[in-house]
Amino acid sequence: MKFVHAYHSRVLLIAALASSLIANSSGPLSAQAPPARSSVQNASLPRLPGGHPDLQGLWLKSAGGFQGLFIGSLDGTNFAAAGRGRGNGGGGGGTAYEYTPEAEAERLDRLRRGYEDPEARCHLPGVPRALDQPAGLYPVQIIQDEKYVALLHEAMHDVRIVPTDNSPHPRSYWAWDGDSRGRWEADTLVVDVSNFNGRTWLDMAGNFVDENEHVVERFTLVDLDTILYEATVTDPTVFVKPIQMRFTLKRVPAEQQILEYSCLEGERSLQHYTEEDGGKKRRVK
Amino acid sequence: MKRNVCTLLLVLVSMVLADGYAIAHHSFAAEFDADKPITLKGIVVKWEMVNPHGWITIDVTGAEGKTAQWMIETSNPNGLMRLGWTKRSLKPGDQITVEGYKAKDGSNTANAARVILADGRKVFAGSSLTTAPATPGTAPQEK
Amino acid sequence: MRTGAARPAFFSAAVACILAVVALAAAAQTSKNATAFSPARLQDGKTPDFRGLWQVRDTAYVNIEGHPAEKGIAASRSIIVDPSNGKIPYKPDALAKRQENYRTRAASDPSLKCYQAGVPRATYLPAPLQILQSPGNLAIVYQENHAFRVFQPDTRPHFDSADFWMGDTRYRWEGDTLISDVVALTDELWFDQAGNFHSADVHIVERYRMTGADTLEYEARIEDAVVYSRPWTLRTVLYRIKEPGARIIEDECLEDANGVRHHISPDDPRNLLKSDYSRWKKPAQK
Repeated sequence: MKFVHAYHSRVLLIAALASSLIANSSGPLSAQAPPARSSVQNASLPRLPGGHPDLQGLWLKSAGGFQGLFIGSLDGTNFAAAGRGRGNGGGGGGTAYEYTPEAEAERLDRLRRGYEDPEARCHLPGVPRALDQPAGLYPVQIIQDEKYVALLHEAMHDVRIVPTDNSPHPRSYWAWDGDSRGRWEADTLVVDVSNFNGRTWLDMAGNFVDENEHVVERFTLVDLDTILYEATVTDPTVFVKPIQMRFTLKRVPAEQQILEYSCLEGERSLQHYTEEDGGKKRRVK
Repeated sequence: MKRNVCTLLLVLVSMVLADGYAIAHHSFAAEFDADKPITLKGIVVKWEMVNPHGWITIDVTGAEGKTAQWMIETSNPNGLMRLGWTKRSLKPGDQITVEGYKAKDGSNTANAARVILADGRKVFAGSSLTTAPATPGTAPQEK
Repeated sequence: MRTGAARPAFFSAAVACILAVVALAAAAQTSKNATAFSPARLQDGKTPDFRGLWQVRDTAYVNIEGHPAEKGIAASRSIIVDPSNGKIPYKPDALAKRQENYRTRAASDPSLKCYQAGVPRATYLPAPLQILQSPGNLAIVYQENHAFRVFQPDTRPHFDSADFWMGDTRYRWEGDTLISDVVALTDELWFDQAGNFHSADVHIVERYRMTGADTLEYEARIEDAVVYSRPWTLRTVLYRIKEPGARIIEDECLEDANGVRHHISPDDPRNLLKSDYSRWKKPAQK
């Protein structure tokens, strides 16, 4: 399969370069710059007709991110609870969450109310939480054509169909996953996400965003088996400065497949949460 | 080489999963008490591979001969399925032993760290898994 | 004299008429075969291109066996094409269960809890679906409850380790018809709002075929020896949504004060939860 990709990509690359030369010589430049220069440097990447890198496949976050550190442990410790926000953006850099004073107080309050984490009650995780799931657990399937890049997440059967047609964000629209608009900058897919409804949390440790969240994501196919994911999360009413997140997605072997994760239909754990975590039950000592 | 890295990754993930950690979506500490380990020996009534956690219903007969029903929460079924477990892996009537931790709310609910089958095989056990994850439909090899 | 001249003329006119009818019928038959719709192709030049937003126009989602107009919803005939009486061939015990489902449907329909609709129900909901395709990739995203199915090539066996709400799907192409094989569906699913159901052993074969540039015929053959005395088939048509800028929008359900979930649209201001950190504000220093 790799060899077919390489062959096709060379043929398509030559065709893309030729057509972009012809187009540029005969009319005004198109709104999106053809990926001429960097595509010469990255000639080994698989590409779709049109020249953009082919991000398709089944991908799994291998390490890092912010939720990558969070694993509920048998002794009850919660790595994320140590200290203010999180110190490690994981595998390759990142920054801590730095809250405004009021938002920090809100975070500490939510830390005691895990019962209210919307993802625990099977709501959509939002952005970037849907991709920033604990490493190695839930893959994402990417299907792509000239008009969109679709991300089908196993976690919560979350779906983001990202149009790459230069269309604007809608007005009067508030969503758990926000509204995504994609464009290509050379070989990187840049996705601008806004229009959030303010209901999502970033993790189980009370870290959160509100309706003023804005995310810029960058997906770069580094090699045939690796996508570098970077996200800048800004939220002026929650964080005093933008958060940078970075991790890699690795291609899953072809014999694996995405599975169904039907959360709402099978969720039975919340009923056992005690008042200590905002739940309904009394703790029995 | 790349495929081996991915397989290794899945093995590592399976080892973490197999210890019965409640990963993502729900916090272990919010539901279960790490200071209250428990061992339950019982007969399987039902094995439900639902998300976000699987549930084994077992009938446990106490010393006095009274039977109580317990609900055992397992880690995420999607991870278990990728290890080769299916809805047919535990059948009504199977005798199993569950080592886990009691729920904080005092109900007959526990989180499974380890399940031991009647023939002694340990399942959901961490480091005892010796081979790479099985292809779907076959059970994982265990010590 | 007139009669003598008219009879041969009438006779030849009748023959000409009959010949014309026969010729027309033959032409119609030929044209029907010759113009079976050939859809556009993907960039590989051969895979039929079914991409786009699609939605049914009938109201079979209320009751696939047909139902009268009610609560402002138009009536629907049965979409069951086999058996010809349009009824699901339930075994007697199963029919009793369906009647019980029907009686309690206002509380027991799984869709009321915002559960995924399953196969085939998700196909004929009054909500759009989007077919995503590229050479070697095929998936359908259903707007309702953001359900999706990735269609796996039928070169590998089914993944049926558990019962799923959207099943496990293996597909192939037969000419320009997409054929998909579905198993591993949970028995908690319904076919419609009327309580029609199946067991976890159900086996469904779907056929998707474009009959025109903007019409997609959908057929599902349902087999389940636990519940039915024989297999049965339903058929409906999906229509392409052509409004510029039409998209699948997010469909989540919010809990009300009693914990009951209700669908809410992203353009509903009640979806928005405005932040308010005023309770954390420290009182101003005097």
